[in-house]
Amino acid sequence: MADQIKPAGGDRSQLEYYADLLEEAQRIKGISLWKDAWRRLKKNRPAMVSMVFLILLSLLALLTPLLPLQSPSEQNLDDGQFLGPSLAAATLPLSKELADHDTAVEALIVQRNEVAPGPEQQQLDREIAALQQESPLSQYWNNPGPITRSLIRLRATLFGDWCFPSLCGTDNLGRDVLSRLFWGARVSLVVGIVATLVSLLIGVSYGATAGYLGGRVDAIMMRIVDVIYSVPFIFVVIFLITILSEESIRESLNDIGIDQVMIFYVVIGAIYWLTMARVVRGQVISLKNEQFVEAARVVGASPRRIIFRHLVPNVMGIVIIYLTLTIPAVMRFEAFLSFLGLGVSPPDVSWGLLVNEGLQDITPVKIYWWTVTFSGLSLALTLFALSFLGDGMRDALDPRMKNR
Amino acid sequence: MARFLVKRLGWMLLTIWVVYTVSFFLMRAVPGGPFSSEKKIPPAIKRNIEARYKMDRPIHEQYFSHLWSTICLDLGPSYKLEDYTVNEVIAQGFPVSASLGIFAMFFALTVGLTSGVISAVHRNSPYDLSFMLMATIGIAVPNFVLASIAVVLFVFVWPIFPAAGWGQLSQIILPAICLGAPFAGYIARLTRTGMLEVLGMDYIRTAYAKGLGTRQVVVRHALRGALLPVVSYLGPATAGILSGSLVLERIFALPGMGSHFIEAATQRDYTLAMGMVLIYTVLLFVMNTLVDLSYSIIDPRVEVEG
Repeated sequence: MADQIKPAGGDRSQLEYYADLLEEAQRIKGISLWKDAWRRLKKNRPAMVSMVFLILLSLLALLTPLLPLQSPSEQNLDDGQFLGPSLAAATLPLSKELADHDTAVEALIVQRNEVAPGPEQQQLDREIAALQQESPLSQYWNNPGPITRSLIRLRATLFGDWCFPSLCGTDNLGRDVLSRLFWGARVSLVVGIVATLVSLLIGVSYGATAGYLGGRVDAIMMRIVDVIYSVPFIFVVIFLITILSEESIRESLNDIGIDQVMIFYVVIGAIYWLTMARVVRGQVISLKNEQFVEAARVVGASPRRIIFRHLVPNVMGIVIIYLTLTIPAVMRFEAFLSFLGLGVSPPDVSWGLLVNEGLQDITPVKIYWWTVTFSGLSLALTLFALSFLGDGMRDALDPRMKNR
Repeated sequence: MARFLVKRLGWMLLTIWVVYTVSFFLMRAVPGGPFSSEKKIPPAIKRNIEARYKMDRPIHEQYFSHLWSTICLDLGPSYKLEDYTVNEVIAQGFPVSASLGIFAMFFALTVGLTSGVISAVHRNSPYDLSFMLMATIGIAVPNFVLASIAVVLFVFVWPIFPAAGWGQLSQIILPAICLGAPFAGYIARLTRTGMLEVLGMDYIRTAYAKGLGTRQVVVRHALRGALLPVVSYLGPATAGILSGSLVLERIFALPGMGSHFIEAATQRDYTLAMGMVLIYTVLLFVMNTLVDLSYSIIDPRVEVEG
């Protein structure tokens, strides 16, 4: 063997030959699948614009508590209802109220630390808890979490009382539409991402298991998928949500730490895994007779290890394609359910809910166009961007799929 | 053919049975039956009523007797609507929903096919670009957003359509267009892709070569080949139209099955909701079977298999 590649000539030239070969090998740069895909994606202008838009949107949604927006839940029933879009400056008396509240709480804490432990101290503890409940933060925002609270406090020190004007007008209860749009974006995006991840988890493990095990197990598992596929799932989901939101069931679920929104994520994720499972199964079947799988089996890897360490990473490309197409589908479904009044329920806001509220403001007497227009537009633009990005990524990762 | 139909029927029965069983046990998992809500009834009378409706029997006995009446197409009384059985509600809502769905499908097919063919024949022309832009918008924008904008524009700003109601032709046009729009967009895209593929084939060149006009080549020779992806899309499209009708019936206040279903879901009318789920399952299955059959009619190379 070595004789064959040995070039004619002495040892010296052979050494040079190998040196050349090494150099040449170093010069050739392999282009990984991802780099290649990224290069193709960069050429796709609509997809890139959509990506920038989506990144900006997610950043804004993430930092919403930090932005100087008006309160999304404070009602203004005196003269603030149905004000059209305006540029008039607005304020939120946040810094003073926060300072007042903090001094009140601190005074109570000082008082509590002075008294001896006993019933009097417990009484004071309860008072402190009650006062903390009445913080302006809970008054202007709907149950903010600890991180959100500190972000809002940071905002109060950064911007003071100044807020964005009601650029998108106010709704039927005098709430600022712009601010509600931002808070609704958080819910809509989180639903899209979390439910998609749930579907990813179920779909990939189910499909990979079926594909790898093959035979009768595969046949049964895929028949189950077929049966679920032919069920009009939207109706089943609505039925399921109806039953799960029954008061006593909801309470018992709450006791084990599952709240309404979580049910929602899981239920949506649990129906969007079917396509994913089919696709992953097909890929795994074509991969499972490759040598690297056999090698893994020879060194004694368990089926579980082969599936999740060797096969799943290899189907990630196609999984990501379906992921980008699932997120808009899930967001659309969330908006659909919230629109019907079966999804996110007030005082939480999501875009679907906002469109629904906006639609109710359109009456033959007077058209309050801004409530429905801005929420509808933001939902439509986001879905638009997501589907452009999804199509772009599909074309980039798998050029054969183009135009399908 | 007959074997295909029998096999399909078998799968349908299995699917319906699964849906039925799951929803039955979910329904029974909800504490409190139909008689335990608002007014307090004396316990003795309640026992009598429950005995009458077999609710005191063990759960498996209830399951089988309920299953039997469902097989006999008796879906039971509604929990919330007075004097209505589930069958009556469905019988009232079905014609409305069906005509809405048929109109929407008709709209989607005519508009989608026409614009798709025009786009493919005049590739990269302004027609093509604007049609494809419209198709993308139609697919991306959820139908309720589309419908709300349409209501603002065509009912209030430029009143050419009535806002709601049922009975006249003019009342069905706007909801049907809004319902069909996303599917029209999708069909247009599919038709365009299929046509582009077919138009590059040899037999099209042959057709031109023997002297046929463009119209005849496009309509007679090319369209038939390009139609296959569209036909296979009709199955998912039916499912989409069924679920889309939920929203549109609500926006336009149409008294169809969708409105009743949402009402049933929000009012916790479990029997009605369950009956509706079963009906929708059957509908979807029948439509899918029809689509598969028509597939083999259009393309003789395809043989139907179970």
